[in-house]
Amino acid sequence: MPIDPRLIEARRVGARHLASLRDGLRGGRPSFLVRLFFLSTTLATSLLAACHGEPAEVRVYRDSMALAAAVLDRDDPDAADELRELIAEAERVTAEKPGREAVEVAWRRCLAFASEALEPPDPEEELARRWPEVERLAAERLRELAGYLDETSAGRRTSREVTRARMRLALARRHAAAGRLARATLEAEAAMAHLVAVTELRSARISRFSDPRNLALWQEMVAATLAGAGRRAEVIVVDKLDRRLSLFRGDREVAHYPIELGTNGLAPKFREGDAATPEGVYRVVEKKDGAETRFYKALLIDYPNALDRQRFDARKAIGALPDDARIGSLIEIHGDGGVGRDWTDGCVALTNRDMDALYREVSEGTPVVIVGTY
Amino acid sequence: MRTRQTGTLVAALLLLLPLTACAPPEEEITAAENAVAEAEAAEAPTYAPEAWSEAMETLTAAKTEIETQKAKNFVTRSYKDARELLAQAEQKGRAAVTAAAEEKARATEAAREALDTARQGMEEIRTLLAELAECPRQPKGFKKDLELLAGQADAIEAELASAQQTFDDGDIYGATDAAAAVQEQIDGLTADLTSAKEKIGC
Repeated sequence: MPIDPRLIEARRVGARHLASLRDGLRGGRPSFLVRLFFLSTTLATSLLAACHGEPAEVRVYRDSMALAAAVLDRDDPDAADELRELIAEAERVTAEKPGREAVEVAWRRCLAFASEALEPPDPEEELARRWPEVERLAAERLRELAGYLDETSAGRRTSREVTRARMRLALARRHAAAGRLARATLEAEAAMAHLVAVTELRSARISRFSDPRNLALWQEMVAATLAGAGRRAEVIVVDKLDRRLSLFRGDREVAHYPIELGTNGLAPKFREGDAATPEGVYRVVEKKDGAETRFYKALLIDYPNALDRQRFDARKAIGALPDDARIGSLIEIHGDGGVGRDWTDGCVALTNRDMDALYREVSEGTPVVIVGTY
Repeated sequence: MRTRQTGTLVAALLLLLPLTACAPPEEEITAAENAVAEAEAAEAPTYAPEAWSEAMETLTAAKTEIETQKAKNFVTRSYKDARELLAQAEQKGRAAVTAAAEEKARATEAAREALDTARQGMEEIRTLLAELAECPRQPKGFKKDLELLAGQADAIEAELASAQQTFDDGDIYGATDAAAAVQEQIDGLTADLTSAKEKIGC
């Protein structure tokens, strides 16, 4: 019997799309070729049915459905399970041999389900479907990071990114209210991108606090100052990251207070006006009270010390600071704190009550060690 | 003889007449399709969606009617209704062109106005920020506040530029929405800056 050329063509097309379906298993989404494969499968099965008996027809169905289930395993496991149930049912019907039509109906049911399940989602619909989740995530992250504006290292750039995220989210909600969900999702994703920028800015500013070399240096500064001060002498230790001022007597911490720093307090101080709180070993050089200070009571420290001057000159020499930069002075531990965020020009602020307590314990010459953390 | 020939000719013409009358109205189809295409080119789906839908639906109805008539035999076939529908589709297509042009002009003007208003608001914000920065009375945390407020102003300026870009790209409704979102922020920040100025007596 001569072979029907249509059958040869159907097999050729089927084989090509089978290969495409297999490629789909290795990555990428099932394409329209997959659907075309099912179409060609239908054609092939019809021709096979016309030329041969039931086994060949069922075999083509079985192979293509197995591949469809494998693709769905990756993209939509629930649909894969459902398809396997339908395949099992079709196999049961096939085994019962109730006649060609009943077998065909059972397998066609599998084919119809698989075709629908593998239909690639419309990109617009896909975006629209993601809107509630993206909106929730962006709103949550925005709430979380907006609070970060009160932290020291949050400056103009952070404020800019947080505001842009807020505006994009507002625009996204505007689109969503008008039913443009795909566009809303894109805007919410733009909001998320700005929030990622906020996180990156923050990480860049605080990464030095987790650097073991810095940590070792700061611990050494604290230990050496405490050891050098004598058993009965007071030492003030300021932990910038923890926003904590500790009063030590000998090597024992006798009191500690919450503090506020410069508006750029977590950064190392490089120059006048950078609002950073300096790090180093200092001494109280003057106690101020009443009209002597604007901030209730104050302990003036000897910033800049020799090391600060050396660092300042070195940075200036390599051009890291402008020629007209000045090193600054008048760094104090003072009152009027309790604002709830970093606000000074580089000083350390305590509440007036805490300042009273500290002021009583400290005298001129008391060592003050300020570190990132320890 | 001549009379007989004339009679044959008239009979042939009479026979041909219904045949030509039964040909699909190609010219009308082209005219209607052109009108709908012009409406699409005039962005009617965006700016006059209802008029556009009406034109499309009428054109589809006309084509369906033509197919229905094609399926009939030449004795019962008639394209009269189809011609009428095609004429309506053409008319609706032209109406959609006009409606889209009018709405686009209105929306463009509104978007341009919204962007101009936002730009003016932005200028006011920059002035207020400069006045606050030079204020002799600066309470605790004022520098930090000012820095964060300047960051907000930067963000609004960037989003305003983005809204303008959307407008320049021809997405008029998108630009209008973006300008409205920007204006909302401008109003909020202007109120904050004005209140800060009053509070510190600047």
